[in-house]
Amino acid sequence: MITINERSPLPIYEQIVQQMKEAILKGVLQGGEKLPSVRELSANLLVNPNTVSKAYQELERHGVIETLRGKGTFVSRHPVPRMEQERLEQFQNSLRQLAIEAFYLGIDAEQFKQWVDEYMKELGREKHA
Amino acid sequence: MLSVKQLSKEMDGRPTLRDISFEVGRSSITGLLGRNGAGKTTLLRTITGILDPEDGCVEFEGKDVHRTPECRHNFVYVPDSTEVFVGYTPDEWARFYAAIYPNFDMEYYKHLMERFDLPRQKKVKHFSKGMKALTAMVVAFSTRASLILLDEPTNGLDPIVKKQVLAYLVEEVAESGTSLIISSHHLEEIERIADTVIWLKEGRIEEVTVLERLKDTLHKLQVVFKDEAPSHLFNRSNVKVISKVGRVYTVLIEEEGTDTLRLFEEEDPLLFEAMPIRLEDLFDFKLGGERHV
Amino acid sequence: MFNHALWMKEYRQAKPVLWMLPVICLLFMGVARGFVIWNKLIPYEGMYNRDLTAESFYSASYGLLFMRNCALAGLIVLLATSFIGMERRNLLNDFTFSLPFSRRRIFMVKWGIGVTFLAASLFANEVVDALVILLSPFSDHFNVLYHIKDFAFTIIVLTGLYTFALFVGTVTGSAFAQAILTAIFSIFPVGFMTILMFFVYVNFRWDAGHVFSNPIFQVMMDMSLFFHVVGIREGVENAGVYIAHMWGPLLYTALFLPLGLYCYQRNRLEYNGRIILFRQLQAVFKAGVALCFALAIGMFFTILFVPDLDRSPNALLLPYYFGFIGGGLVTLIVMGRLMKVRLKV
Repeated sequence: MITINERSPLPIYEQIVQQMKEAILKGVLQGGEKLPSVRELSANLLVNPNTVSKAYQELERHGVIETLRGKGTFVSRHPVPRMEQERLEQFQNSLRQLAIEAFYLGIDAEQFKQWVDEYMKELGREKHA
Repeated sequence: MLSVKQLSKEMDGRPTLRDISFEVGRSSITGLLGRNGAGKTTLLRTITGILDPEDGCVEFEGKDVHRTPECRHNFVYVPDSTEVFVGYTPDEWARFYAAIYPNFDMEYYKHLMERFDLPRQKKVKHFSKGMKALTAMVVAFSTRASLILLDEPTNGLDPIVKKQVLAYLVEEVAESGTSLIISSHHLEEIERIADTVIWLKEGRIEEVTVLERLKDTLHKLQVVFKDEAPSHLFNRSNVKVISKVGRVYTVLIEEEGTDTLRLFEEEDPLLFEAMPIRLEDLFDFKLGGERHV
Repeated sequence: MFNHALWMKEYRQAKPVLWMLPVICLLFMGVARGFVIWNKLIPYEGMYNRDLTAESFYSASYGLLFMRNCALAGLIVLLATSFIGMERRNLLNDFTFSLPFSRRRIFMVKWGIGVTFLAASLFANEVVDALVILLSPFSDHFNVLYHIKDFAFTIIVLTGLYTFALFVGTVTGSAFAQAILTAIFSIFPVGFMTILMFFVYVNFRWDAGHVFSNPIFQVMMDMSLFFHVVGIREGVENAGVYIAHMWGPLLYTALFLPLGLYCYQRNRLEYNGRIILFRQLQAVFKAGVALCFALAIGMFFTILFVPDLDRSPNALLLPYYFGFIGGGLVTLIVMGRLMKVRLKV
């Protein structure tokens, strides 16, 4: 489910966060499903437990997962998309970068918007599948 | 938890450790990397109290390891060879450690031996190398020590056992909050499981890397310039050219933020590609130099 | 002190040698006594139709006691090497020093185990010996004091030797060096006095008279553990005369136990394998050995080349100094090389 790519420019904890989010979005992990403990995941991936811990903490901050004391960590039943200022800024920055890239690649705004539409639709569709 | 303060050691008149200082906290994995002869084993042996330093001290939970040997009951050293205990059976070995280390957990020891499928009543000398290494670790971890020092724990192990060992190490840290100091040559393993890496070069700490931030502070670039390569950029202290093939330079840049990166970009290179950083790159950057065996 | 893990570890390390102690004692005491009684003395009495005195009865076993003492001395030095010298060979020394015990305590346990086993072995076997005598036809010759003296003197001498051997272990880097140096130093006082007296004779023409009658010589003998080991011969009648000589071995114990503790605490494992561990001592040792060899070779050459030592006074000087200087220089060179060697054992 989660694979760490050593060659990726992303730090390990970010890869975990990203792949978890993706797995949940795709429905591989469903709301309310129990996640592996920090210990289990770090042993499985052969990754430092503090790194896994950090990833879990971030996921929890984003409301993607929740920890129930004594029971474990679960996928949020009702993932509330939270509009945190900082993350919004980051997102807009990335979007801006993509726009620059698109310009240099010769992709026009229409094509860009069309792709965005498609992807949003795909995700939305899978989510309610 | 463990404080090493300005540790210096001489052997045969030559300095083998120079002014080594670092800290190890709870629930962490510290990797100790360096070329052969850099002083890794000497450092571990000095921390454990086997060797005496010329200068400086080692403090475990506030107490000097050399002056108060009793404070050693909460940390264990696992050398890379089990020759001391070859004549023992694991059970005898465990009973012995149980008598020395007050927190030894016999039930846990039995559980671990079962988990790794190791015979408890056979003499250790009949074990394969992998089994010996695992047994040494099981016994060490059964002491429930808060700090365990491992000298090349995966040396000579086959890939399957290696994975088992690494998974176990990581689990222990996650579960019991034990801290580990692992000296190793195997960069890929350290890269994955360590929080911090201490680089030893000729007995000195060359660098202490917090791995999480590695990718933020170190960048690897492949660049090709149209005309002359801008030597003023290459000569900067935080830039090191690690290879040059034709006109393609592979460069390591050390910094936070992207100032130098931007400067490179401004030179309008034909090729400007960011490459993923591996610990190997850092190894080369920090410790490379003399190409001796 | 009584943390049993440390005792367990040391016991296990030297187990075979430790148990040889009572075995040797048994062989050379109770068993030998029985052998002597039944195979020698009884037939003797029968043959000569004479009753033995208590003195003769006990002295019949002296030869065996001498062998016992030599064997025990050898064993005790071997024990000392098992505890210190042999540890230096592999990672065992690393392990011992990494334990949460002070080095003082570790050394004391090593000393304690040896002395305890020795004392227990001797004591048990004195009892067995006594029983053998009491159950034999010679029971009326039984003399409790004799056994007490034997026990006391033997313990004191062997403890002195053991303590010294342990100390030598703390300053040497290998079992081999430890054993050899212990052996050499057990005769050293007497040997040194001899070559020194010869030096005095050759250079100052002062004849100290016959060596053995010189009172200083007696002192030197008492300081040489070798002579104690081979020389304890207590008759039944002598009411502990030998006690006067006991100050030697007692001094060894009193002096070398604290010295051993001190040196062990400062041991540097990185020098394991060298002959002498401490850098400061290396120079002293080298000089000392060279001096001794110089004196000895000078003496040797003189005796070799001058037929009559009483005659030509000045003719002695030439061969002497030839040997002295030549021998001294050669030794210095050899020692220079030797000190850098690291032995595997």
